[in-house]
Amino acid sequence: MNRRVRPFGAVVALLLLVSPLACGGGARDDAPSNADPTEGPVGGGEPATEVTLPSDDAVEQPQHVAADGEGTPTSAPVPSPLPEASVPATGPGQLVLLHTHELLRSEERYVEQLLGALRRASVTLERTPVGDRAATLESWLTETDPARRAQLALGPARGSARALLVLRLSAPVDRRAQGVTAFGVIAGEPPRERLWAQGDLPASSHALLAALLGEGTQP
Amino acid sequence: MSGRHLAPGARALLLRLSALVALGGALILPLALVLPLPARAGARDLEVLFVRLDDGSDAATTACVGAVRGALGRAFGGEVHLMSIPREVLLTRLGTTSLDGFVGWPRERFAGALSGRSAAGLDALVILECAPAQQRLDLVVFAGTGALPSADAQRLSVRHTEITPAVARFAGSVASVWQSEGFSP
Repeated sequence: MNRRVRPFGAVVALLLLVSPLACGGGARDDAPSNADPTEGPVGGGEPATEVTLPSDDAVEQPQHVAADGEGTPTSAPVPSPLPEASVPATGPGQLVLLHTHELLRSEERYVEQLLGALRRASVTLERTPVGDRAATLESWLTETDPARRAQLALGPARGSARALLVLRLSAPVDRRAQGVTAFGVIAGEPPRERLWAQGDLPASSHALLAALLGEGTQP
Repeated sequence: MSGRHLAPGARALLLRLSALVALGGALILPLALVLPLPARAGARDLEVLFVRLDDGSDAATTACVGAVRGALGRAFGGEVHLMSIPREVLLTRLGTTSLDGFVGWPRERFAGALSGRSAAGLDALVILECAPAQQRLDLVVFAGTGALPSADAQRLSVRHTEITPAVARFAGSVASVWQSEGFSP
């Protein structure tokens, strides 16, 4: 009797272990708020339906077709940053918040979660008052032209921090929190813009931000 | 061959297998009912138009584009219908010959891609230029309530930084949330 039950029990235990995997289609790990994006493979499987549209609509407006037919993607050349007195970046990384309102509890929680996610990704930032850097950093985050941003002297704003993460938290509108509306990273020697963004910094991206704050990616 | 001709050992094995299948079904069915499944009733896909600005000839660039595009399809809670058009088509729609500095363009310069027949039914437009050789990545995502005609630009630039797979994943992760801004299935 024992001979019959033992293997049967082992298989049942195995089934119990694998059954959540077998029917876990609904518990996908792609939920933006919970997934640990550092674990995902690069360019991994795409559940999305992907369609490459035919390019025949290129002839919809033939008057607009490029005359030279040149197809090489280019971007505006970004000039080198202006020479500036550089402070040796030996201090710990800093997080600076730009805001004109008293931070809401949800915004404080958001900041703590961000710092925690970065800490778990081995990047520790010190939350530091913006002080007299507010105007410079606000101009930097507001300027959409990369070439003009490259002309800004970001060294004094970065100070002695190895890396500076700046978040702009906009004031609530109609009692609704706006959250992060712009963010960026200044790092490297000489200090330069490494990341610049106008938009939200989603919680699901917090840990991955370490890739732009860590030592390993400094040029 | 009928069961009567089976050896006793084989018959016992067959019986065990049958019992296992029945037990497996009994275990899996309740779990499948309990675990959350994506809501489908009345839901529609997020319609995203994706444009890569490189010519596809560089392997590192293609890997970067793949990481971002993969994230676009993966991270949204629902289904993403991801469509692509060649860069030349975007140029035609915008009525321009160059996309230099597109990441800093005002919204008006994208008007040709945000309205009209080509934009109908789209929820988001994602334009990406990965340039690992220049340590650069630029990304613009148009999305918002009311779909493309009223969409706002969200912009991201990486400069002076090695475009590692982790950096590309970061950009993809951000864009995947931006693309669903204001989306209501």
